Amino acid sequence: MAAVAPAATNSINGRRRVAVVVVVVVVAGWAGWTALRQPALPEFVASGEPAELPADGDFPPVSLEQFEGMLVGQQGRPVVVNIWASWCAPCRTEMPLLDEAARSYGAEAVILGVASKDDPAEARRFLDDLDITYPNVFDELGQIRVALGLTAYPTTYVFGADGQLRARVNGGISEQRLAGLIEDALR
Amino acid sequence: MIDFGLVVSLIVAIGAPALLAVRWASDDGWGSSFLDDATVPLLVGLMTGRLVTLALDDPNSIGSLSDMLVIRSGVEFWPGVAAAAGVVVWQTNRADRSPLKRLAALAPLALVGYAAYETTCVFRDGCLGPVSPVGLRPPGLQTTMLPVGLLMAAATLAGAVVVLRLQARVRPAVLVATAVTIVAAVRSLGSVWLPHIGDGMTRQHRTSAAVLFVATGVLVLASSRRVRTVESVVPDG
Repeated sequence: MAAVAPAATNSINGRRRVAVVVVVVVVAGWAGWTALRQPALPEFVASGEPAELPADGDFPPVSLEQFEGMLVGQQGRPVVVNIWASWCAPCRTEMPLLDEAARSYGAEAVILGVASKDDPAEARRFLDDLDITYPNVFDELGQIRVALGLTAYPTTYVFGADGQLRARVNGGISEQRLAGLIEDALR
Repeated sequence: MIDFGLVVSLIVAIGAPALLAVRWASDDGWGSSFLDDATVPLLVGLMTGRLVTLALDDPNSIGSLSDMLVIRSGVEFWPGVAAAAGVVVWQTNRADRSPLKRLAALAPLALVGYAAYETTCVFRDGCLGPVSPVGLRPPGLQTTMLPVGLLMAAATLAGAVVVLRLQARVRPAVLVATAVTIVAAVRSLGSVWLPHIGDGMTRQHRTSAAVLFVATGVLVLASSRRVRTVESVVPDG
């Protein structure tokens, strides 16, 4: 077999490197554009009669109407709504963080968990296993996740003191981002 | 669900030092194989960092492959770095080369990779920090914040230049300790300004402060050791 000349080898290697760089830049550019493109917030405004949050240890099944009532009842302080399910791994990692936030912010802000697309007994066991202390409800008919335009588990929604939806974080939320969003809503 | 911000971060964190290594290849002779050399340590580092996070936060997930693969919910940085460095040492030992020299040669590229990773905070969460009239407005927020991640990236990049310039002048142990001290200092200081829940130090802050303490001690000891023969840090690959 004839030996390949060094100049030709260098040329092939150079072209291969350029191709790799082009592919990497295209993939990074596409992923970066996707990451930066913020999904539009759903047009969701809670209305209706104010309702109380569930008492300590309660985990009631609620309708969309009851859920909206809970949000209306909390107007005057920010509310962080976290939609979760017992089968979702990132939910298990972030819920202790939300619990810590609930304890840290106390009456200044409300954390409300909504279990959806889940078995009520499994969800209850999940809450007990993690020792979650902030109020949680069960999205019995799946209406809440539809109204909030849920596309991923978990998803965290932040409502301002005026009841307006300010932010949505699809997927697991970091401590930095959670703190940043709550602090911003408190300002 | 794919975390595109994390995908970009990883591509940039690996791509930036890989491109630099290709550029430096003609000078030192090992750079062209950087991607080959870095892939296994990086994967082992990611896996170890992930396992440590799960062991600390959610031990029940260990054993469930799908749960363990969702890396968006956390990777412990320093255990990951230690594991990756361990793999480099093991690989170099197997090749009958000096592990410290190899780590020292990789140090500036590792710093560039970390700086690149911090730069991509723009894609992950919009670069959070203290509220400031000058800065970026992360998605979902109505106030501008000083982009701490970008400042950390700039500081690490400056550190990479320092480490690169020291390569020919100091022993490998001093160089590696310097690189670790720089990253630990950057992460410790950055943690002070990053938003967090509660008044206490975050785990990132505590571990980085501990590593900073140890690395500074090692750096002082390594610098003060008498040198019998001057070793060159030029890579031996």
